[in-house]
Amino acid sequence: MNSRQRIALVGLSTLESLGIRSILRDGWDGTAEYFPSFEEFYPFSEKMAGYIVAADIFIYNMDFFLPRKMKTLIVARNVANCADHSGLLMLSAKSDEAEIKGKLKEFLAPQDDGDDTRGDLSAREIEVLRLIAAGKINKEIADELCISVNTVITHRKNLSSKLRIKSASGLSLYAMMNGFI
Amino acid sequence: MSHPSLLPVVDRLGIRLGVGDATIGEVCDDRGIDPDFFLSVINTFLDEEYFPVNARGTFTIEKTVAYLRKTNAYYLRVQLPNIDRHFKSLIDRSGDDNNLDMLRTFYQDMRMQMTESLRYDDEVLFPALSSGRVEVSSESAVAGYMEVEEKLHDLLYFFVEHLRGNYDANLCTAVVSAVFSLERDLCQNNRIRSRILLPLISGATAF
Repeated sequence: MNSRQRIALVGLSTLESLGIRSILRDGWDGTAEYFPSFEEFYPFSEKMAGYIVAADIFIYNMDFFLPRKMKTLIVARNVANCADHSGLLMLSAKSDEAEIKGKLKEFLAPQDDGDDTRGDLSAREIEVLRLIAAGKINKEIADELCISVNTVITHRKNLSSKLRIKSASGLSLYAMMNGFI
Repeated sequence: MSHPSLLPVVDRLGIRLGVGDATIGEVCDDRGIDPDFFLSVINTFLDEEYFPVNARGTFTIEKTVAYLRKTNAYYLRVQLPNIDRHFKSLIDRSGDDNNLDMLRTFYQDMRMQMTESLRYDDEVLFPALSSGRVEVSSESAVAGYMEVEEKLHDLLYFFVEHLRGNYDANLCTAVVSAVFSLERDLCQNNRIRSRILLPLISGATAF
């Protein structure tokens, strides 16, 4: 996600939106646009490079957000730790400032396009692919490779983008078909 | 006529083809279907942007569960066996030098997951909703089907980009068409679950 793109803040509270916008102003010159509801957001959805969305809005509109989970950050208000949840990128509203900044940085990090680099996996992505094929979850992969869970999620996003495969079992099949395991 | 993807929906609601020049109202009356419910389902099915204006009035839990029961039964009785049959014929009539067995294993795993979600609906979710217990999580009502939808997408992708060796082209087209039909149906039905079922499950917050 490059710095001049637009992202949508969907269903967040005024305070959450103000806080996220304030943090984003530090080193990111894109536009964060606020939409109080999914209905108001939807007509603009295709113009947005990413979505920061309240958990309840995400739940009631999973049909929209799950296929776009690679560019969705979910803000959860009632849990303290969102470290690993089915490959979804999540941010707890109860996190401390450093963690919030880290998650937003991860969310805004450039992603591989996929069109021209498909099949051209980095050594680290291949390691992650092998561990996914071995049935490891994000936390286990992070521990094994001594990297953060957020970095694992970024590698997964890049793998899905490059290979155009959405599911973990699809990635496993790809690894098997192409001799990675 | 311009929306053939609606044929399975019409079929599962008990409306047989050959309706002549009967209006939607007449056809619905004949089958005991609420026409507002019918039109809302059709519109939600066809139009990604459609939001039922009066969802809580038109879609009661009873009607929605009855519709979803018919949908699930259609998947189990028609669409999945259809893919099974085509897949078996494809493998039986193709050579041994291909990777179809790997694709079938992937499909069978997906099928098992989908069947488990359908079983959960019938044994846990629907009885709970019908008896007024709405403590079930929204994730359990939708998320499993979203994963199945992703896997169907991946299966189509593997057929298009990673199929190797010799195979019967006609039968392969039959499998891909059947998988595509299920993926499209499930995608549209997931929209109905998200837009209609979840708002009916009051107080469901999974996070």
